[in-house]
Parts: sequence; C-alpha cells; structure tokens
Amino acid sequence: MPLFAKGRSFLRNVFSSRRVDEDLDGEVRAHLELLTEEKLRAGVPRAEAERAARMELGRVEQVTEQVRDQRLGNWLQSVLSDCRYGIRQLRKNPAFTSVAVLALALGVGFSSIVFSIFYNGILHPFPYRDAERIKVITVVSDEDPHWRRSGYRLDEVFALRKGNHTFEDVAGTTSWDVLYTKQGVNEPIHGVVVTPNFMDFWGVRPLLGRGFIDNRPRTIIGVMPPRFFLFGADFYTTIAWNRPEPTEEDAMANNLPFFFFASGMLKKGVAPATANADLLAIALNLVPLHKEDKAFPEKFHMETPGFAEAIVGDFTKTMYLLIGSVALLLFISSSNVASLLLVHTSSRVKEIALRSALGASRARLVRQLFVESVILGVIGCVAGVLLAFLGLRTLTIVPGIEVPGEADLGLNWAVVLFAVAISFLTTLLFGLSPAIFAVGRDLRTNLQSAGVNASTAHRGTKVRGALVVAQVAISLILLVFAGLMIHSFVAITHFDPGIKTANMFVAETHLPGHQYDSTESKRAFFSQVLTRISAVPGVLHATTSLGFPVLWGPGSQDVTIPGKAHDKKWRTSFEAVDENYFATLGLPLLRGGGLSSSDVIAAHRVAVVNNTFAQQYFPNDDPIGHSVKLNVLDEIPSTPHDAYFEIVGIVADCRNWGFDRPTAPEVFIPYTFSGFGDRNILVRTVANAGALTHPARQIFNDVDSNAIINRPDTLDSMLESHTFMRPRFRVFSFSACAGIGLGLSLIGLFGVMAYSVTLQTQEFGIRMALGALTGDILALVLRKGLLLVGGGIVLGLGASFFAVRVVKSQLWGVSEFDLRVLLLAPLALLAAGLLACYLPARRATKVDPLVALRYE
Amino acid sequence: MATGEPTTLLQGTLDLLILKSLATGEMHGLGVSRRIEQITGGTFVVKPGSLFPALHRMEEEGWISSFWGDSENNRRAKYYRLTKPGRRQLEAETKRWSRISLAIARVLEAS
Repeated sequence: MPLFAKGRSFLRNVFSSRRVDEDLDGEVRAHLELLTEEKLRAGVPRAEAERAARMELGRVEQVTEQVRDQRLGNWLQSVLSDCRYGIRQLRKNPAFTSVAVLALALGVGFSSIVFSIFYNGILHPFPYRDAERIKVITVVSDEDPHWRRSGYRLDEVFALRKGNHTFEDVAGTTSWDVLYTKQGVNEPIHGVVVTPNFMDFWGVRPLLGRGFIDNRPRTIIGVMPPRFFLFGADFYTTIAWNRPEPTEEDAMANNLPFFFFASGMLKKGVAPATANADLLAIALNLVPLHKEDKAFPEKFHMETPGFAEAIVGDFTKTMYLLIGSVALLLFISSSNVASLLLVHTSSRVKEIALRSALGASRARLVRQLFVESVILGVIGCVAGVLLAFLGLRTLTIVPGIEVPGEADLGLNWAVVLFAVAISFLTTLLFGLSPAIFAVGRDLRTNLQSAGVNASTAHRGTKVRGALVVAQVAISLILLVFAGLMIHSFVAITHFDPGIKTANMFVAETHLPGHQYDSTESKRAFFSQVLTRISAVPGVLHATTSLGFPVLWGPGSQDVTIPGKAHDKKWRTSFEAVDENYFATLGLPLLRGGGLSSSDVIAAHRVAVVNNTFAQQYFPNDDPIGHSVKLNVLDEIPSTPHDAYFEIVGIVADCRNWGFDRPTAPEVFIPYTFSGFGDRNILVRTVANAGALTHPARQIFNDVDSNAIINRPDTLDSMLESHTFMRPRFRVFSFSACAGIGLGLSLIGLFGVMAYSVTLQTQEFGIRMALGALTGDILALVLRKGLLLVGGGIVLGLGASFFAVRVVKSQLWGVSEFDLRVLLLAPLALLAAGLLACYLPARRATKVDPLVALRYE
Repeated sequence: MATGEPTTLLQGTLDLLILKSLATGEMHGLGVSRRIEQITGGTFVVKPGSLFPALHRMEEEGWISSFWGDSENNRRAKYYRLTKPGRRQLEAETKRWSRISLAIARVLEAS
C-alpha cells in the first residue's frame, strides 16, 4: 500500500523527527565503518583506510542534510522550525512584541467596534427581510419642505397598495394604545395595529402564547421574537383592509386606529424617481376624496426615503464621520506597527547577513521573516478581535450611546475581517522589509554596517520620521473633532431655552369615549385633577397644555391679524392652557395681563402672545388690544370657527420647536375654547419630578378609573433623549477616537525618539567628551522631537481647516472654526509630544562618554 | 566489461538500478552501491550523497523496506529489501527502460 506507507512516513517524519534523524545518523556511521572495514580487508593500513573511507563518504552533515531535504513533510518540518524560531525571536524582544501586539490589537479592536456599529446601525440596521428595499411612502409639499406626511387613512393605504406598479407590497402600521386592566387598575399599553399582509411584508414570524387584553377581550395568538421591536410596541393586532372607514373625529373619540404609517417594498431594480411618479398618480386620485380634511397640500410630490433613513435620520452623518475618524485611527495604528517593524528590521540586518553568509537561501530567509510576521500578525489580530468583542459588550452600558432601537448591535465579522486584513497586510509588508533591505545586498556591507548601525538604520529612520509627522497631523484632526464635539455639547447642555427644565413632570393623558367631549366636562375633570395634584407635597404648580414646552407645540399655523396687511402668510404656533401655565413654566409676563381663572372658566376670547410674536408682527405698535384669529381652528369641525382672540398680555420667550430652531411666534389662549382632543399635564415640583408618576396616576384613577396617564416622564429626561443624547454620543465616540489616536501617536513618537537616541549614543558620547553640557544634549534631542511634532501640527492644522467643514452639521452653538479648540488642541498635542520626547532625551543625557565610545 | 571512466547517472535510472540490485535479496547501503558498480562494470559509481536520499525516498514510496541487521562481519547495518509494490515498480521501470533504450537504439541505427 504505497499510499499507506507514505502517510506513515509523513507522520513519522513530522512527529518523531528526532528518532528518524538518529536512525539516519546511525545508518551513515555504520556505512562509514563498513567502508573502513572494506579497505582494511583489501590490506590498506588502518589510518589510511579510515581517511579513504571518510573521503568516499563525503561530509556526514551534507549527506544527512540531503536525505532530510527530500523527506516527506520536510516543508512542514522546516516551517514548524521557522515558527519555533520566530516565537523565540519574539520572546527574546518582549518590549517590541508587546508594543507591536498592543498596537495591532488597539487598531483592529477599536476600528472593528466602530465599523460594526456603523454597519449594523446604518448600512444594515434592521432585522427585517430586504430591509434596504423598504421605503416610507411620504407626501411632501412643494412649497414647504417641512410639510411631510407618511400617515394615511386605511382606505388610502389600500388604494396605494392596489394601484401601484412599482412596489411588491404596501403595508400599513399604526400605534394604538389601549388599557390593560390588572387588579382593578388601568394601565395603558402600547400596541401596533397592522394590515393583514404585515407578517409577510416584514418577513418576521411570531412565537406562540395565549392571554387576554383590553375590555374587549382579545386572544393573544402569537409572541413576536424579542428582536422584533417594530415601533416599540407591547402587542400587535391586525385590522381588515375593508373596515368601514370612520371619520377622524370618530376615530379619536373612540380610540380607533386611523392614520397608518405606509411602507412599501420596492420592486427590485426600480428607480426611486419611477416609484415616486407612480405613487403621485395614485395620490392625485385621492385628493378629491379629502376636500374637507386637508390631507394633501395644494401642490405636492411624493418621496420614498428608506426605512432606515427615515428612522435613523441625521444620525447617519455622525456615523459616516465616525467611520472616517476610525479609518484615520487605523492608519495611525498601522503606521505604528510599520514603524516598530522598521526598527526591528535594522536591528536584524546583521543577523540576516550572517545567516545568508552561512548559506541560507534568499527564499529560506524570506520565508523565515514571513513566518515571523504572520505569527506577530495572528497574535495581534486575535487580541484585537477579542478586544472588539469585549468592547462592544461594554459599549451597551456606556451612557449616551444611542443607536436606533431597531438595530441589532453585534460584532460584524465582515468588518472585523476588513480591519484584520488591513493590519495583517501592514504587518506582512513591513515585516518583510528586512528581506527587501538586507537580503540580496552586499553581504560585506551589511556585516560591517550592522556593527556600526549607521546608514541602514538612518534610512529606516527617515521613513519612520515621516510616519510620525503624519500620525501627529492625524491626531490633531481627531483632537479638533473631539474638541468641537465637546464644546458643542457644553454649549447645548448649558443653553438656556427660556425656562428651567429641571423638576418638571410631564405626561400625556387620555380621557375615555365621548364623556369628556364638552368644554365644561373636560374643564371640570382637569381642574379637579390639577387641584389635587397641586396638593401633593413638593408640588409647586400644575397645569395642562397641548404640547410640551421647549420641545414641541402645534407647529406653525396660519394666523390672521385684522388691520395688518402683509404679502406672505403669517404663521404662529399656539398653545391652549389654563391660568397656571405661565407660573408652572416660570415664564415672566413682560407687559399687560396673563390669563385669569375667570378667563379660563368663562372661555373668554383672550390671548397672551410671546415676545417673538410681538416683535415680529408688531414691530412699531403695541399688540395689546389687537385681535388674532387662528385659521387652523376653522378647519376643525368641533372648534369655534371665525374666532378672534384679543391680545391682553406679552410673555417672555421660551423655545417651542426644540433647540435646533429659533423660538417661533406663539399665541396662548384659554384651553376652554373647545373640548377638542387629548391634553398633557405639566407639574412643577420642588425636586424629584419623576416620583410624581405614582401619585398622579392614583389621582387620575380616583377621579375616573378610565382616565389614564400616558408616557409619564420629566422634561429633563425628554430633553435628554431628544436633544442631548446624540451630542453626548458624539462627545464619547469622537473623544475615544482622539484619545486612542493621541495615545498611539505618542507611542509612535516615543519609539522614534528613543531609537534615534540609541543610534546617536556615540555621537552624544563624543559631544560630552568634548565638553557638551547636559542641557545641550537635552536641547539637541528635544529640538529633533519638536521638529517632528511641529511638522505634524502644521500639517494637521492645515488639514483641519478643510476637515472641520465636514463636521459643521454636527455642531450646535459653536463655529466649526472655534478658536478655543483650534488653539487648545495643538497646544495639548505639543505638550504631550514634548513629554514623549523628554524621556528619551533624559536618557541621552545619562550617556557615559566612556561607555559610549567603547562601542566603536 | 570495464568501459573506462565512471559516468554520471541518467535521470531516473538510479531507482531502477537500486531496485534491480535489491531484486536478488536484501542488502545494506554499501552492498547496493558495490553491487551497482559491479554489474555496470564500474560505469556507474553511486556516491553516498546520492544513494541515501534515493534509498530513503524509495522507502517512503513503499517500494523498499528497511531493518537493522548484522553484516557478514557482525557489524550492525541497515538493510533494505524489495516490497511487493517495489517488485511491481521494478517491472514497470524495466519495461519503460527497455522501450527507451530500444527507441534510442533505433535512432542511432537510422543515421
């Protein structure tokens, strides 16, 4: 069985190579004895016989080497010995090895983490089938790009689904909050109503279970997998396509699902423009059906943003920036590895020269270097992947990390592979450089120069110097980014929106059925509830509103002011409040009077305007005494039409569109103008506003067990998730990038300086022997370091002027050319850089001239 | 039979010569070497540097097997003998060689 014999030989050669070698040695020795004996028998004297036998045999080592060379598994055998040699080399230089492994691990680990977040959070964030083809069907006004609508009546969704030629399917979803009765107390739970094609559309299958919800019992027929957080719902229920379509008012009063969020699965290969045109044709047919509810602007077009884009929004840009920063970081870490390997190279030129003088072939040497680089690369990359894995786990507990709730954040192996490949290639490339530098060059030159370590070393040093300059420059860019993000974060968190946001409890409420449709019933309910909440210890004021102060109000609405002529439409936000509103917010009255309790009880047609309203529409005259009409009220059947409110006072401004937009003009009217709609409550407390949830819920339950408090929260925590979270994430992520980048660059700088000091040991010795002082040597070394750092800073500042334009959109309240940042970042870098140079410089001053000169 | 100076071996002929010399019975390395010298009348001299690699390679191929034994003068030596695959290999090699030498003889006759 030749194959069997081969296998056995292979295994024996690889695994008991020592026995095989001993056997061979024995055989060759026996051969020599046999030869000698042969000669003796022929009558040759012993001494002569032994000499002749040895002549005939040749050199024993050569014979055995030739046998070994063509043995089965010889290749593997020598690679294994290369590995052993390589590992020994790495262990012999623990400093080099650990720094190189650390550099590789940090580079691979950190970039993998960010690349993973990027991929899973942005490029492919959702666990749904063909997520990239899921589009949000949106109506956009031609005149006002902020006028966007993705919510449709169910019959509209059906029309879109049936009429289009560009989508595989269109599904509707809407959130639907219902009461869950547990032990006699009502609690709202958040549900999602979906069209029957929902499961197929999203490609998600439920798990199973049973139960009851709501006062109409419903059977739970399925449990969705935990990863399926579509619209953050507690339960899903479906609705028939052909239900009799209710009016919007009916739907609101009876808590029927009404506006559905329409998403479409685009057919493969259809251009967005084609789909938009297709949808527009259908939408134009729907316009006549919606004369009374103004569901479509006069002129509009359709847009189909991706589902990811619609949910993640402007966060995409942050992630793209971050990915850019990480690519820079990967460059810094790779160049550190390169730099380390270059030093390693010059110290090995002599060894390589010696080995090739002893007969090692070029291929053999290259293979040895290759194996060493591979070992280094493997250890570094494995450590890096481990770091990435652990890092991504801890990342979920870092405060301020915000990625879309739907996204699945795991380590992405494709991107890990990418980072590993880059680092690995760098390691191989620069690990093999000794082969390029040393092998094949004149042996004598190498043997000589390696002793004096002059010219060859200097060639590597130039390359390393250039790498350090680039590293410093890139670090500076990262520092500037981080600085801008920090400054921006400080600006946004210290911004004064016009009121104190701390100690403010906020909640949505929902009153059941038609029972509270009338103005009087609603007022009776809220005055009772708010009076009782005000009596809770620690509560200062309680009020009710339509929107949430600072963050959200009923938007910009047409306003008519009699006696004022204007070409453009005048717009204002408005708020329907009670007499305690301004006191609760702490908004000072600037002029005139506020809203009195009698205004509220009797529903007087009076209004208070904010300062912006007064400035904008009454620049030259006094608004008090004028009247305003909110045109939007004319469009709602149950609100008073043609109602003019007399302006009685002006209050100070506070933000009403969020932090990003300037304060809009705003009109405050008594909320008793109509019994329309759900309302919010706002409560100012002495401290710990969040603790009010339970007492407030209890009071609501006592007044009417069907009245519920929804999404109780504090204003600060709403601000946190709406306004501060993303800047906080930016501060964290960009600072991490800058910190790691700076650390890696300093390691690089330190390495180069330390090595150049080593190279110049003799020079320093001579200088000191000739009378140079410690300070002279220190200055000499520091000047060299300063040149590298300074070069990097100049280069980095230049690059920063272009780079900051990219981060402009991510900043709030600071210019991208923020002087403080552009000054402090280089200074910090300079200080850190000098420190990194100081340690090697100190060592240079400790050179003993006698010892240094003896090196020659 | 002696035809003068020893010649270098033709590529691929060493295996055949070793197999052929072992066909008569087991022998150690020096025996194989001397046997080849003897049957080729000193035309081919196999040096240890070629002999041992060839022997080991052929052993790995499974054509020959080895064992330690005593020489005629009670010295320990490594002996080789043909295996069954080795015998088949010898036949195949012999046939191949006959074809080559026949062809070459024809070429030489033709001119």
